[in-house]
Amino acid sequence: MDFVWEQRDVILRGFGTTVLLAVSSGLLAFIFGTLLAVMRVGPVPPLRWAGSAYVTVVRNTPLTLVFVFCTFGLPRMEVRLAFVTFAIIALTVYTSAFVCEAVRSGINSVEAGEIEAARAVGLPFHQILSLVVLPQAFRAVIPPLGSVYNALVKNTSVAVAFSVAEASSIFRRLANDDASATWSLLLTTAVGYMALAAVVFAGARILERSTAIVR
Amino acid sequence: MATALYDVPGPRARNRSLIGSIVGGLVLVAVVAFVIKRLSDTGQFRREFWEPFGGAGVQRILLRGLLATLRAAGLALVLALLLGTLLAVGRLSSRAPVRAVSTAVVELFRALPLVFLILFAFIGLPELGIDTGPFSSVVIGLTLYNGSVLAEIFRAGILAVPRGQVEAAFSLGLSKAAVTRLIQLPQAVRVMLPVLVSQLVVLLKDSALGFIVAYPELLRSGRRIYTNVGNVIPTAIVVAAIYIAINLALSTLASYLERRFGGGRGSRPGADVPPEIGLGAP
Repeated sequence: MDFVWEQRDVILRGFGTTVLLAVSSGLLAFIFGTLLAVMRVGPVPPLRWAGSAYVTVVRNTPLTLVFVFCTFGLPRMEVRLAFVTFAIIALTVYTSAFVCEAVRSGINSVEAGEIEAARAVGLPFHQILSLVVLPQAFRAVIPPLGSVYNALVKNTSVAVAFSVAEASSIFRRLANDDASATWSLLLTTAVGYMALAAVVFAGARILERSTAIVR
Repeated sequence: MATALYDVPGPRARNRSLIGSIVGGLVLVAVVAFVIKRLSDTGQFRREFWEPFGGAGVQRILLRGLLATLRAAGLALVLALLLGTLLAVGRLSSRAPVRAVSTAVVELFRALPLVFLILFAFIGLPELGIDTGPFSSVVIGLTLYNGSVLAEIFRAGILAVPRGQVEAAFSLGLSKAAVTRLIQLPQAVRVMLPVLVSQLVVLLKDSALGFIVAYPELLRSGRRIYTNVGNVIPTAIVVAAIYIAINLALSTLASYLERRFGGGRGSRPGADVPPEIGLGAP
């Protein structure tokens, strides 16, 4: 455990990168995923097709492959960015598809009567969505979105193979430096991940409670 | 989706949606055109980047990679099914210690990233004198993670079996083990079959993490090609197409099973399945 204590700054910085990856791609995926969901339920056929094509392609592609495409592929297209940025792009591209599906299921869970009422008072499509459907959908969407974000926190670890110094690659490097500390490093990293999972879980719970309404 | 969001359009709405289609379509075409232009400007459509895929050598590498992927995913699936059944039965056990241990195991392996589990098998287990190569590391990681996810699926499935079935079996004098084995599990598996196949898609995708420990699965074979030829993007596209084709076939099978077995006896399949199933695993 001495080695772990000596290296606590490095380990904490690793988890800092993990949190950075999760938070930034989480926010971006939320925006992009919601946009995709709106495209998929909207009345404009080409956008609907594009939305479902995106989701089908991304959901059936391994995240590691998305990472390969971003980190090694984009530079070939003369897009030069930091490795962390590539990782955030890959995680955003991947997570957006799942956010989209979660939000879409939320939109589908809004009662038809609500939408019919909104239409009966003459709201146009964009107001039906922004004033009536989405506020209710986001409430229904918190539990599945919580699982998506839980998966996102875990998915950040794929960056281990793509030159990002997040928690798992710090673990790998330190275990390489001092093999005798492997198991204490394993335990420390596991506890760190479980703490992050607990934060996401608690956050989803609190959000769920605070937005719950009495029907 | 039978949508209530908008009516069967009248003439004005049709006009508006036509305009929307044209504008949206143009934006999409512009985006796609920009990407394609970028790809061709940087020479991604060059002959020598695509020609190797016609050759027998590269095809053999890809095929061998695909077989390695299927081998790891297949073995992990079988082991995960066993582990999942064990953990599910453990979580439903009437003995409190068994229940506590199974719950702890399930929660632990669901909370940890799969990458971390694979690294644990790859780096941690050899420290204990257990020799693990890339293949066993991938299989162990996939088994631990998917076993605990499957345990939750099974548990939900077992709990979804109508209470009367269990009561009837008990009243016939069957023991608890016999009720689980003869009454609950067969019905649970039937209800859970579509979800199981969707989980197989997740498992197959996850096997690409073998990339990290240099297990020569499909993606790693792709790497072998693009480090030689220098065609990262064409290779990524080809490999992605293979993954997508297999996964779409599996998804089609899942929805067929859903139609075939689902919806019977008033129990909704998947109704009690934890929401992350089929969502967001790496």
